[in-house]
Amino acid sequence: MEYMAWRLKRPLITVACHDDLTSGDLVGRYLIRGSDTIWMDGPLASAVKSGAFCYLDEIVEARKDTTVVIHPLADNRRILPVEKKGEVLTAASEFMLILSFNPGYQSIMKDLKPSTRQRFVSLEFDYPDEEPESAIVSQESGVDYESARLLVRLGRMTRNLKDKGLDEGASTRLLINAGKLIISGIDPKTVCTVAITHTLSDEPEMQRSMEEMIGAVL
Amino acid sequence: MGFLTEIKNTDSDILSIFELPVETGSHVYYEEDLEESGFLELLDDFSNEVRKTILGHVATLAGIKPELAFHFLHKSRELLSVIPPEELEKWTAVVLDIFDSKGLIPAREFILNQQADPLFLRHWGKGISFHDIQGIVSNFLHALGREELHLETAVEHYTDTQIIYVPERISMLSRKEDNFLLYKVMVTHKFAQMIQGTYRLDLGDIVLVTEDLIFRYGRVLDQEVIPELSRFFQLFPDPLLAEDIFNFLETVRIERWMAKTLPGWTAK
Repeated sequence: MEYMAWRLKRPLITVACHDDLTSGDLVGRYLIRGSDTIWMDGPLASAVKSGAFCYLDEIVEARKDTTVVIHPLADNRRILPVEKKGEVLTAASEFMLILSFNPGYQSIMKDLKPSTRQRFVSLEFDYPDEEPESAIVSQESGVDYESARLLVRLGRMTRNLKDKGLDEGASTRLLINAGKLIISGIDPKTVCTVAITHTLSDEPEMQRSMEEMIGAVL
Repeated sequence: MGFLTEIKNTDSDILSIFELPVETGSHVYYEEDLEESGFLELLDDFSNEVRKTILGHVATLAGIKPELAFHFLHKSRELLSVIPPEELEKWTAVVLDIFDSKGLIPAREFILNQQADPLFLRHWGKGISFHDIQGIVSNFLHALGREELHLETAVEHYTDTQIIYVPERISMLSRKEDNFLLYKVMVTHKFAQMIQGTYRLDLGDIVLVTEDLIFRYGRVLDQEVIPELSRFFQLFPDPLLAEDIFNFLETVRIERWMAKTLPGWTAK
């Protein structure tokens, strides 16, 4: 998202969505300051006015009645009703709305309404292939490419254990962090133990299995 | 129906554990019988510390089934020549597990048979038992990328491409971890053969080769022979030699794959 905003030279406003997020948090609210009441735009209203990118991260974590507020903004109307002020904001032409969520965490209770989904085009992001992921890990952590490749191989092995003892395999982010620890001078096997094995599982047999993988790869 | 007798030799730490008489499946032992049989001297050669450890486990067993404690005492010297005293706690737990789940006779057999018992071998036998490392090796196999593959034990190590069969126990190498490594290498080798296509041969893809072999050696493709790999070997004048050469070259190829994919092992 940061890269896209940088490429298109637009401000980026990010909202980390959660259960307690209200439509007021997104649109704006009156605040009491001294003896006055002042209006404070929420991040969505700010983005609409300034033509920024509004990025609602982990949108499925927010309640469905909250996310409905984006509907008139995300169709041909491109408007944001601000009920408390009795206003309707029309989005600047550069305004863009982006949602993200991780399908792996979804449940029946945490899904995006079809009517919300169908207002967007969808880009699906899976783990990169081994070579590009190695390049990413190397670039972002500073570790040499060969070490990054081994970290990625190990990460991919843990991903094969998803739902077979692991809830999730090692993410690219986790591998980058491991790479950073290696760069800091810690022994690579120790890094993998603390950054990957113990992070992914508390279960002794699974931890032992991952240690065997580390021994085989590094 | 039974009755208890009072212990006369109150100095014996062994006797103090048991209620007399001690009944086994075949005998009833009174104090005099035990003294005459040397029962009270069974632990005399052990150090005080080891003796104390043994008596602790004797008391545990006697509290549940005195006969098991009786047999344990008789077998303690033999047992401690095979396992260290600190393993006695685990050994006692195994005995009690058997007693709980299967009853007195299997538990007694376990104590009396010792090293001849498969369960004893699994825990304390030389080398390593597949049972002990099955979960770890299965996870390792799945991590390599074949979730549908399973592991089972068999006399021979082979695969039918659905199941990889490995020995029940490996004790070829002196160190336990080396035997464990051998398990992993065996499983990985078979896995690699599968994903590298060792067992996949379509004779239709190598028509020129088969025609050349038929021309050179005058043998014909026997359509009755399956799989196609075996049919291919039949084209050579010495099919067994051809198969051996194939296996050798395949092993070299697979080991190169393993060295490249799992360089940690090569480094070891």
